[in-house]
Amino acid sequence: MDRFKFLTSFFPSILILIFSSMFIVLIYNSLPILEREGIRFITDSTWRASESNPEEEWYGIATALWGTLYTAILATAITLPLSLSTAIFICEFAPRKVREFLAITLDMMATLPTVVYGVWGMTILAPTVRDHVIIPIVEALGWTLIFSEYSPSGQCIFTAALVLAIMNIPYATAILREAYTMIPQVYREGIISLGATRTEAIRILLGMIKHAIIAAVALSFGKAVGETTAVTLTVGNSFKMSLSPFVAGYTVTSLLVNQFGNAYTYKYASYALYGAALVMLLINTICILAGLTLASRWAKTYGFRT
Amino acid sequence: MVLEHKKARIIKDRVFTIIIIGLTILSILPLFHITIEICIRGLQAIMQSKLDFFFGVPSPPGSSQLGGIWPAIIGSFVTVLLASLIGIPISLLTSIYIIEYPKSVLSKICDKLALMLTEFPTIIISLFIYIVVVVPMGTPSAFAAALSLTIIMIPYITIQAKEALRSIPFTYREAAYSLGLPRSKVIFTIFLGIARRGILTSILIGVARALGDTASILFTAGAATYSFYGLFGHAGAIPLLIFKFIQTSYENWIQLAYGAAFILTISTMMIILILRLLIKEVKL
Repeated sequence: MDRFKFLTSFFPSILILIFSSMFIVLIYNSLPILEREGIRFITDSTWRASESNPEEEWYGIATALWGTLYTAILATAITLPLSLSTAIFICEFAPRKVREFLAITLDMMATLPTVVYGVWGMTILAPTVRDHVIIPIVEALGWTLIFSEYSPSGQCIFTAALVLAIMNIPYATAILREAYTMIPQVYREGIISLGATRTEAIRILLGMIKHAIIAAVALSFGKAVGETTAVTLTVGNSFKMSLSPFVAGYTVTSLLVNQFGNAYTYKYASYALYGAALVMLLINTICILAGLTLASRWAKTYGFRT
Repeated sequence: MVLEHKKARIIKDRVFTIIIIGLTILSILPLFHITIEICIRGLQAIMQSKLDFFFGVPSPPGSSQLGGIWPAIIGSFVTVLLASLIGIPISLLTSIYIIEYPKSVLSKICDKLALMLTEFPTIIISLFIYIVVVVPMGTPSAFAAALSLTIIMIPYITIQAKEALRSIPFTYREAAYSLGLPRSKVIFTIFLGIARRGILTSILIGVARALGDTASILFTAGAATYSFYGLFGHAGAIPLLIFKFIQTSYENWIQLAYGAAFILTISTMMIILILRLLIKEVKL
């Protein structure tokens, strides 16, 4: 081993050190609550803080977990068709000028700070969604028990999912686009020469990048689970667990933001928050890992350029 | 019969095309709406307090005056600068290691890890720095915020710099090594020079990320609305100010949040345009 390798190996080690110590610190700090409440920490939805008697404190994150999964699933469901068609449009239809314009636009969407999305979602999107989507649906379907109530500010699970979906479009599009352009040209030529229309060709080609589509879903889901700023501003932040997407809720991340400030006045609250963060991080990490592995394995099995 | 079938297929094709174009427009439309709305409201706020917006402190909540966001600007500047000073060397050397020793276990792990860290929930970084730095130091500080931003920055710079170094043609590598220089000289004087555009791109991306990130400094920067208290005192930051002020019910603070959001949006767009001029394909 040469000296240069030895000296520079210090820096990648820092990266690994930071990453692993984040997990260790979180696990260490959430042990007290996990020991105290066990599995009921995840399945219970009571959030009871008590200043006088620590024994009365009880923290269950089911509400926040429900909100996180609900927003992430909704967001991914909205992102997928939008990013899929954007990717197809860029690869198949767009002339060069349009393609470049779209590339710049998507880059800007990807770099625009999340807090700007949050501000827009909270002050402009939420009232619009309330007036034009939520109220008509509640009026039409209010007799079903699910849609009987809604958040008066417009800040709700649905709005948060909408903002998340918009934020995830550039990332999902990038993955799908990369996979799509990796399909060897001969396949496309073969399909077209059989007399297929463009639609039919696209359908067959999409079948070839199935793994990349799943990877894009997993990655956007993982990203949606971990997103904080924009969600906190749009989800409404209330301890309500409902099937309706139009009710204000909590996500794990917004729970952290809203409760962390005064958590240290209680005995177990801060541990509960670290525990919640750990659960969220695990979901996020599994999704991201699955997405990244799928994306790379897919390229290998088809023998495409990696 | 055959003709009709063909007609149906063509109609299907047309409908599909229209749907694709429609959905594409729908997915980029929000960006333009965001930009226009933020520009209108932000410019209104900036017009109202003119230069004072950049050099004044926020006026007390509820007053008719707006004041400015000077403490947030200086806070953002100091934290991002410090984060760059720490983060850029670490990430550049990491990317050099990954490219120079691609077969070693360490570089394989780091390659994956950098990708994973770009998708990492930034609020976790905030919690981590809170426990590791803020609690021992006893107070949130600009320094702790800078450390958070360093962790935000590292994966983006590493990935992009790695791509830049990888794109150096193999013949150049061979020629450089055949000069008989030691590896460190080859890398620092020749390779970094060849890849300078890519390296600059990577740094700009990292800075753009650090500048806009809110969640990672939420628990580490503290609250400094009216002044800047030095490196080891509480600090403000532009995204933090937006996040806090937009949730208040004071008209003048909400106005300030819009103004700050405008500045953040414009600076992000400038960085993206500079990147486009520097390099064609950007990986974000």
